[in-house]
Amino acid sequence: MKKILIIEDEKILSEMYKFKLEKEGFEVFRAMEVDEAIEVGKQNKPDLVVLDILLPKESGINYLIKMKNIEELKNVPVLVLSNFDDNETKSRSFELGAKGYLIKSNHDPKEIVEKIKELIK
Amino acid sequence: MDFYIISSFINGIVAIIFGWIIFSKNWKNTTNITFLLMSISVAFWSFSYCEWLSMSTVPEALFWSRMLNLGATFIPIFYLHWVLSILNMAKEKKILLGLGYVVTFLFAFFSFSPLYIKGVMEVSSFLFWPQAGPLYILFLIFGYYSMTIYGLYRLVVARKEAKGEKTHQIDYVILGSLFGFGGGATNFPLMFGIGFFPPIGQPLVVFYIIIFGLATLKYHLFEIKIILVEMLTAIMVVALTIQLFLMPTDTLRALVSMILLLFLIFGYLFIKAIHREIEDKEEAERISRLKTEFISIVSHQLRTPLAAIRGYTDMLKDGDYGPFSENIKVPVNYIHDASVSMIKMVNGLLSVTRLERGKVELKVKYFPIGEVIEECIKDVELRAKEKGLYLNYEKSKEEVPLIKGDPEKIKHAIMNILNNAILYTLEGGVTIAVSLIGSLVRITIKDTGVGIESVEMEKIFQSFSRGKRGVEIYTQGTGLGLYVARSFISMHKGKITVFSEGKDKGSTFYIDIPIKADIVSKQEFDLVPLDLKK
Repeated sequence: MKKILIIEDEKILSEMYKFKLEKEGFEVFRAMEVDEAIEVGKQNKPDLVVLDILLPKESGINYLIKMKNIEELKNVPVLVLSNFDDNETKSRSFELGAKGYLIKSNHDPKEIVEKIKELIK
Repeated sequence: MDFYIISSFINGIVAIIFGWIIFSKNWKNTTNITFLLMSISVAFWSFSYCEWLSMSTVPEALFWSRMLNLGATFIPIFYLHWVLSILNMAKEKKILLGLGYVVTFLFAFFSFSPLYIKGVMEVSSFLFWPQAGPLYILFLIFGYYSMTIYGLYRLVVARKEAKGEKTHQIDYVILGSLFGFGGGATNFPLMFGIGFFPPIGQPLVVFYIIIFGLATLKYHLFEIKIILVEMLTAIMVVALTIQLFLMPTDTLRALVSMILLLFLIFGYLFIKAIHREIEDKEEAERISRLKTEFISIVSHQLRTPLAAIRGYTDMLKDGDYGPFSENIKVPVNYIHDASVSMIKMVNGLLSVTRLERGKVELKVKYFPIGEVIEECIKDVELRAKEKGLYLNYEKSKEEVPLIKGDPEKIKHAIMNILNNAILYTLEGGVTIAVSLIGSLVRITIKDTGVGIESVEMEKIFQSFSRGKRGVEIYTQGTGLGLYVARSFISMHKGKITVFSEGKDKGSTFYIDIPIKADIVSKQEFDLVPLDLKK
């Protein structure tokens, strides 16, 4: 069973993605902020990380920076799922190694699951 | 000699007028206060300079030469304080500034002693030129040169990081500093008996204060206008007042008084009108800025709940939460579709706010337009089929070269038009064609839809504007699609035109894009405040 780590502070959304992904056969872990995500990630070694950008305490961009120094996470693909669609955040995310960037409101959960499947392949 | 007296007098007058004008704009601001103090020092130095040159005895000349140097002693520290406050560094460098003030007051304390100015001597064509004492050498090293060079260094460093208007402001301050301190420094060689170097830079000092004044006011054109008007009024009032005292008869004095009074009234009204004009303009700009910021923040905030509504209803529709009755399916579909249209509206609003803030950047590359059109067709063909409309694609007969531009923005523009064509066509269909017209690529989107009345042809390209027939068919449009499309195509130096024979006679949109437009990728980003959510 493939493991997904969702880093999202909006409970209403993380519940939704968790439900959909579990229904599709994934094992899902959740974190609400960057440091918590790193801890959860180290323990559970996910196959993919779904990352929000606007998080409490520090931006999701910092996760992309920090994960590079963490053995268990540095090669785990990241799909950024944010409501920010400014070019700076997008370019910065890709520069730091994100594999995909989707705007939450522009996609139904099934489309997001499709993207996750594509990235995990 | 008269030349130096006149130029110093002008320096003094200009310094006082500018210093006061700038101080009166905002008397609580450190930048404006330090500018006034610097101007007062310059004026004190300048007027003492006039007095000193007019003296005929050694004691008088010595007194005024010490007075002028007292004024000069304070110029560097007020200059440095002013520069650091322009650069928002005054607080950070407060210890340095404090030290500067202590040193300056020490020099000022000794300014009437022979340690500072030894005496006066005949040098070059001047009878009573001040002679520098040992302390004056220290003033030149630790006051004049250290403070001005440090100020200039800070300006140059800040110039490298500055953007937009601030760059111009710093340029002006650097230029003014070179004029002022360069000009002023031509007074020093004579103080050491070096007679072959006259104080030719003295008249340049006047430019220094004018340039600084403009820089302080952030180089706004409107404000330059107001400074000129206020200066002219002040000069005229001074001239008329002098004239008043010089008039030989009471009749003439009464006449000049009348002119002076009229001048004061009209000057006051004129200045007030300009102030009002500036205030109105600033207020309009402020409201427009607030409006775009408000739309941007609200739109971002709306996306989260909308994503939840869209997501949960989609999962309900897909049966992820188990089966439910047919009569519930219909409202769930409605909620889902409504959330999707609202998301589109929010996306449109965000595009417009970005366009209005000039924050849209192009990622320029060479790309095949044919592929972009095929992607657009793929995106809409299902909808066209569902509505029973044909969707034809007529490729160019000639080979179309690669286009220089941003394929995403061009696709966005084409999609906005194509979506409208399908939405507002009830029967028949839509044809997309590509052709070459000289150095332009023309994309034609022709539909058999509701058409556009001639009076609406231009209006439909404005933001939040929709055609009458369009509103009848589809009530939820934002009126932003064509505005965004035209803006994106304009960024490529292209244009969109529309032709329709009228109501229910279809419409044809022409998108003309230069094959090799003179455009570059911009590195400007839309910086949304990161504390948006917190």
